[in-house]
Amino acid sequence: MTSPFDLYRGSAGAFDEFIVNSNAKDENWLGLAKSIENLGLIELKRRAIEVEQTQAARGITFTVGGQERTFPLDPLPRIISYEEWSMVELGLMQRIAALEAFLDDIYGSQEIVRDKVIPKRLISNATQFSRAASFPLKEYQMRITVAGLDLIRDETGELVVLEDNLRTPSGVSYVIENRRAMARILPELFENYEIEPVTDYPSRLLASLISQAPTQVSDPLVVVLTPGIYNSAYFEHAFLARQMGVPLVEPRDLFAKGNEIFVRTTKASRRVDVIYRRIDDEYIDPLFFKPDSYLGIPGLLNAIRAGGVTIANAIGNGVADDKLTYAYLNEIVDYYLHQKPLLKNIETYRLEDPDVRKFVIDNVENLVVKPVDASGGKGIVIGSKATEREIEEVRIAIIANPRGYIAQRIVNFSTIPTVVGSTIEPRHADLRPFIVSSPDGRYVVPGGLSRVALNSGSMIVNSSQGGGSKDTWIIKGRSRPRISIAPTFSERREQPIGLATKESAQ
Amino acid sequence: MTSRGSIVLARTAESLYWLGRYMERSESMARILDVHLHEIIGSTNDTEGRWSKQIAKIFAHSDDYSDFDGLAIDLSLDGSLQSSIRYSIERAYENAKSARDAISLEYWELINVAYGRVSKYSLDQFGHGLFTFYSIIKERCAQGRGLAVSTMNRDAAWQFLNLGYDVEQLDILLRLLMAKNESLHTEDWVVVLRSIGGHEAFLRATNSPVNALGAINFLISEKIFPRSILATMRRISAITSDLIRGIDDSQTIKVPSELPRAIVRLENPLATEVDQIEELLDELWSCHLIMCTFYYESFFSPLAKSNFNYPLRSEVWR
Repeated sequence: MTSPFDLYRGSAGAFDEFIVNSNAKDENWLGLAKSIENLGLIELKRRAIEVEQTQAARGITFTVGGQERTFPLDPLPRIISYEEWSMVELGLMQRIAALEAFLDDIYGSQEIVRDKVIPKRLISNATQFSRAASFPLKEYQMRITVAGLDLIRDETGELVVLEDNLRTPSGVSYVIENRRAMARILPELFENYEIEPVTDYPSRLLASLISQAPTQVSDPLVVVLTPGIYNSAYFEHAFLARQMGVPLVEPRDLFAKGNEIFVRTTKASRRVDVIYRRIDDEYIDPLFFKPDSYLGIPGLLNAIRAGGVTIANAIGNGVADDKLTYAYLNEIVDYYLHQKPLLKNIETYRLEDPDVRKFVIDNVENLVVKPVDASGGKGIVIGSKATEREIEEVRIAIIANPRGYIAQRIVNFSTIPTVVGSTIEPRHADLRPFIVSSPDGRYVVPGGLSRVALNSGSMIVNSSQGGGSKDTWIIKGRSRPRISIAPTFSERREQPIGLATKESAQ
Repeated sequence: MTSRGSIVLARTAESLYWLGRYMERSESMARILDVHLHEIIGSTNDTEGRWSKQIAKIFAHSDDYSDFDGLAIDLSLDGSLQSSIRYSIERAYENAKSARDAISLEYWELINVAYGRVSKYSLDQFGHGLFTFYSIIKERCAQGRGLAVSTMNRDAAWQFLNLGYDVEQLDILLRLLMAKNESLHTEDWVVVLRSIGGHEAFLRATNSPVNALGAINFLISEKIFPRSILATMRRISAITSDLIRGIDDSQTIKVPSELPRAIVRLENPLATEVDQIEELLDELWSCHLIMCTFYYESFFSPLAKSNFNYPLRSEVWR
């Protein structure tokens, strides 16, 4: 029997996660290949279609330009070993701890600036620095309750950080739904593995939110705040509210009275203690941010400052996922934690230095240039794929506003076998792990969302631009055959009771 | 343990109520149009013209249709018409989405799939056209009702959803009765009974052939027929009282007296003259409208009653 992997070769220049691991006789990857061979590609494809139909029926969608689409799930999972993941997990926790301390400092006494570890410009010129957020949090509150970092595996096979998303990162609902869909449609693949579960996330998040409630409250009311049903991530907002068993509210459902926030219910109004918000800073409170916004809750910021309500994530986190802050990450980890970062960054060029700037301007063709304050892949120019005109525009933009951009090496990040048409082909994939922080500690979802660029050679994994996703398995080991310790029916010496029928009743 | 389920946002309650109304409306319309379309086959031009007029009146639609087919197609598939089935299904979907955290996954999935099918449906795809369409709608809606019954908690959210179903049932039946009221044609009343799914129920309950007055009496006041006006109003009354009991300042809110008064009237023998029936229908219709306003004032817009002031910006930044 020929395996669908016989013709699989990986892709030039990139680290292919299957090729490298199967050459190293990794039994997890080999076992997966064997299962696929047994199943056959045609059957695999058939199941993949089934996955898509159930996802559509359940409304697991995102919205692009008013159109609702499903997020394609590739039926081949990605495997990451428990040993590697344990290190990544530590690195993620370390990084978030440092960024939490950084934000506290920046919105407090700014000692890191006074100690000249980072230049004052980094803060004063950051578009995401929020004067309205410049107040200390209560000791039970966190700034980064939920973080979603973007990692990629570089040419050497090491997982490195591409981006920190500390505002309202999305995607965790797909992690949980993908696992559920895979277990239902491809149970054979799971048979021989012990895979770390991902379903803990909602309860971990709820625990964190409850622990951040104003202290005098005994039975806090937590809500999820969504912009509404037309938001691109509405599915996820509703998903999290349901999984946590808390109300899903829109801004118009909330109002401020004094320093407290209330939700309008059919029975008068109820005080809200914690808001898990999935709405951007600018739309939170029209009194402070956008007076013309219909979305906000007038008086919310005041209630937050007074400690009448807790909001997660805190306001103003954007300054910590500024790409230039990223470029100072080593200094930040060292300054607050006196440690070396466990997770590396991609080599990044800071453009304030005239020599560096000149080098970047001369080599735009071989670099990636990114605006420092955008999220979701907006405004990024990949030199090797840009037109001459785009490159010229980038040069001009950099000269006009060096603080507004950074440049990075183009990373040919890793590929993973993916079902394409009727074959298996290598496709580039990134990884977005999710970290929940609470005053008591941190929790990292085992694995995270692997997003895969479905077009050949493409490195754009965004769901809005032809990206799909993969279930991501952190495998602790090969499972032993299950031995049940519960007594069976016969051991209990009980007669199983038959089903009642009309005849037996007579 | 007081469960979180007891909290229903005013907006969610309104969405649930409308979800129920639109689901019931879709199913009722599908049944009404389906039955009329069937009965028209082999009937006279006169009947077809009369029915076109009546149906147009029921759904508040212009009555310049002489053939029933054209009217039925528009009322089924024209999404720009507020009285079409497609429009109702689309609104049901939106309201379900907005109340997504208050309904069960199974019920949501059903609505989501129905919406997907209806929004893609075009006549030329199907040989039998409308009949296939109606059976999809009827099946989906009935499955939805069944899934809601078996998968949802009996909390306030459930009551708002059911209130919507019952209010719409009442609305549609009253409209049907008012449109057909003037008619003494027996076939008109067979069609009404069939449209409500009550033809066989009528025969079993009354043991007599269909005639105008008998059918009207049955549809309005038959205690054991669950879709009669009386039975529906009793359910609405029970749900409304329950919901009021849950409100913190329930002392100040009372069910409008028109509802119990109407129920008492229906519990006693009805009129036998056609013009008295008309007067009764007018009274029931106005009771229905008063109740519809009442739900908004008592449940969906506590906003209008609460008074609070936003802090001024100058007060915030000391």
